[in-house]
Amino acid sequence: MNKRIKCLILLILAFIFFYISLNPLFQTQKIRKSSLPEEKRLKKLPPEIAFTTILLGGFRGILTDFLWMRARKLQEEGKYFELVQLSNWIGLLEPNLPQVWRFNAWNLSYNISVEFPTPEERWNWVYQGIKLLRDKALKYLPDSPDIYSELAWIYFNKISSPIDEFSYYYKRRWAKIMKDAFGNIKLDEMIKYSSYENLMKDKEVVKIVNAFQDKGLDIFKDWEEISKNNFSSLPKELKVYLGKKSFRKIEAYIRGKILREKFKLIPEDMREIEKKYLPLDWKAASSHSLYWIEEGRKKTDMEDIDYERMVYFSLNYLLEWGKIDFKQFGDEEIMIVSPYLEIADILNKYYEEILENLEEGFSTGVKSSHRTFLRKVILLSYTMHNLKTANKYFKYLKKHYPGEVGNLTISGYIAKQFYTTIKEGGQREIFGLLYGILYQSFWYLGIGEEERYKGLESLAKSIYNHTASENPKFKNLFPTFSHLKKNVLERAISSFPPPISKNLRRRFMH
Amino acid sequence: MIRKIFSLAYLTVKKHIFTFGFISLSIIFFLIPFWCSYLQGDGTSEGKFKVFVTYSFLLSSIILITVNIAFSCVSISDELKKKTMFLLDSKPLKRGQVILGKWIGFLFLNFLLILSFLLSMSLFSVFLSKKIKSNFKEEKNIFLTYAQVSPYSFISGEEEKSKLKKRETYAIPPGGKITWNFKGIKNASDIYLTFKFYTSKKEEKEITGYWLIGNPSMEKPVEILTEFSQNEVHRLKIPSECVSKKGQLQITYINIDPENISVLFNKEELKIRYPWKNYWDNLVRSGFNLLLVTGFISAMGIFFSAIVSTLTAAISTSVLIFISYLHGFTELIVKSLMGEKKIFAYFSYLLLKFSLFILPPLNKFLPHIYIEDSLILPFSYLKNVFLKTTIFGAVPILILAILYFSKRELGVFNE
Repeated sequence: MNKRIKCLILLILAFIFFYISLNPLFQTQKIRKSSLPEEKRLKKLPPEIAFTTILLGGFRGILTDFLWMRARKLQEEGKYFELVQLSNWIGLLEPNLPQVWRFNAWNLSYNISVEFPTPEERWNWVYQGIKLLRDKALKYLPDSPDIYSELAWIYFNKISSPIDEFSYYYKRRWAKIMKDAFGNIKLDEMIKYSSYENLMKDKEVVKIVNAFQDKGLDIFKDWEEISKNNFSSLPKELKVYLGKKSFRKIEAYIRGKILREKFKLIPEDMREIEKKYLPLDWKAASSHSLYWIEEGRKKTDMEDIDYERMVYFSLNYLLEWGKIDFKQFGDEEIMIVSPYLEIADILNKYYEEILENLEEGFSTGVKSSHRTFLRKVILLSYTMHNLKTANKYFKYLKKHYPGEVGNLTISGYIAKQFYTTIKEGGQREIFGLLYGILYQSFWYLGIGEEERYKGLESLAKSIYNHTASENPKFKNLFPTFSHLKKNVLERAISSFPPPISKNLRRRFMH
Repeated sequence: MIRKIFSLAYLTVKKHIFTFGFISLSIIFFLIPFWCSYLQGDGTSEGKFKVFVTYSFLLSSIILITVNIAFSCVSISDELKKKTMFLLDSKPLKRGQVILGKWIGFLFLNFLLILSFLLSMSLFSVFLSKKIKSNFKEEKNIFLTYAQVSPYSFISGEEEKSKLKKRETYAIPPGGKITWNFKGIKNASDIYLTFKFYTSKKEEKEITGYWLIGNPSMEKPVEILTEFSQNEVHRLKIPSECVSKKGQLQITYINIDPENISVLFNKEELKIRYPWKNYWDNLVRSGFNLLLVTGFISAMGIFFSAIVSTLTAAISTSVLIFISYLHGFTELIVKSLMGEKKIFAYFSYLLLKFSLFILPPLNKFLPHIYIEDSLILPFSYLKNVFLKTTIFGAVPILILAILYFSKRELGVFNE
């Protein structure tokens, strides 16, 4: 063979082998491109990310390792004060990995928070985890479904559900934050007055802004100080503006801005969610788990199962704790958590849709869950003294699950929920149950929740009557219902805070 | 002789002080606390201040160490390379005086950098405390520091054990008791015993304990019944009347847990903690601490600079300083090699043991660990740092450098 041809063949072979050997390299580059920020994307990134990804170069990895090791070591030693900072830095060094943000947020909200004994300290860490995801992770990874899911999960699991022993405190803290953020302004107003330019077209608004400026206050920048303690620190000359329509417009603009910038909540999207479901009480943490999962669904390619699961969980908790109010009793501010019974219709529809699409063999588990849900709705409605809803769902239950109800009336069915205590419990257990329900009913009466009181009282009466019919000895062992009620009332008056006891006394003296 | 050394030190300072590098460094040291004052902490006033202090000290120590390696490793070898050493050698100066003069010069330069840092720390501490006051509702004196005292002896059962060093835990069997003796407590108000204990039970269990707290001059000790869970650091408030005027305190623990299990107290975690001095005292002590550490590093740099070229000196010094930082890790290896009987392991053991002996544990000798916990740097700690970094560190290294440098030929470059 010609020497030249031999060389040519060898050269071609060399190229082929070279190309084959390069193939893994191409693959690696492909993986890198998909996981690391592209150059174009990098240009849009905030300077801190550009700094960490470009300037640090290969040292980024070493620095990240060092920070991970330090975070781990400090956590083991029980030194937590640096961990928020370290989690932020780790996130900045690996901004494109949602797992890193998720892990660190979970670590702050779950692992570290439980190391602290007081609810105040714990809340700080729970909220740090939320802030890490909401303020940092979403800034760098706005299209990651994982971040939205995790954020929704923390709101649902850590704050809404009773998984943590201080979850009631967390609910209260979050409700207070939202109460302060909303003030008396409605979502629609925030949406209407969201543009600064349009707001300043109103001459009255300009007049108010100037009046504040003359007193050395920038109404937009110093809002926190101005609105402190319900505007109590404002000078007299400025207080006259508080009741004016234009002031409300300014307030709506500022509060909307705070929601957008501080809490990353978009009033327009919140309104959209309310249209989809029902008007929500944004003081309830479950409303926020619903918000973030809906945002995730809208802005990312979130999987159906993740989305549906979180929507279901959120609605379920909204049903139980979806309405929150604060009432002032003397110096004490009491949080009242009530069920959001209207949610039951949405959830019931949700169950019906699932059951419709499921084959008979696979529906046993869902049916059982549906039954539990119906039972919960009936009980909640009954204790809320919402007998219309209770009856509606009782009939529904009777129609779809006749075996569950049998020949019982609604009050008999309610009492049946406490079957084990009534049937197998001793005198002490039954007495304890009745005492607890009545005590709670007086609490609600004391704070002005009349319907709740009536609901709980009739629940106690149903249990009492049912027990008496089941257990003939009962009447001899127990005081009469009115006697029992009187006993509990006396105890309640002596142990409740003075303003609440005063309400009760006033009520029962008449 | 001292005059000659100081004039050489003066020359060294003069050579560096007005350079662009030194001025930039002073500015950087001034800016470190400024930057750290913007770090967020854990959301509490205390956390924010702790992060500020920790990172200011951490960053400044890293920069100080790097700068010292860079400056000191150039010192002699560069003079040899540029042949300016001949000029010095022709003057009525001993070569040892050249070495000492340079070291003292570096010490002074370090002093200036640390001073710049401490001034900035003081300024930004005040600034930050004001910021914290306006941003946080909680009222806490963040400038208060605490002193810690470990027991100097203990009595377990009938026998007194004075060799505490060998024990890692204090074990109290069911029904048994232990008495710890403390002395040198200078402030009796707001005083706590901090401790951590374990049991053989894995789950979170609350252990019932009975405490008798008093001092030898007290007639009847104060009795306290506690229920604490294992594996956590606890704080037990000590009544102020239990501390004698001489600062003595005696604490007895009786294991009365009904489940009949032994309780093991962690020795490291069992300490008396009380408010003592303040943050400003700590700053001054920390500055002194940093100066001692940098003195050791510059001595090592000068030593290598007298023997080898600048680059080799820098690498050698960096490696040794790095090992010095990994003191804890080396200690672990030494422990693991103790039982090995192979020749290699035995040789490694001796070598590592030697390195542990000659190199001070720099990771433990920097002030930020103390200062971040609001603990005052005790004089005993500073004495230990001084002994290990200066008396057994810098001084022998400098003597070696002087001995070698006095005998060497100046015409040959360092390789």
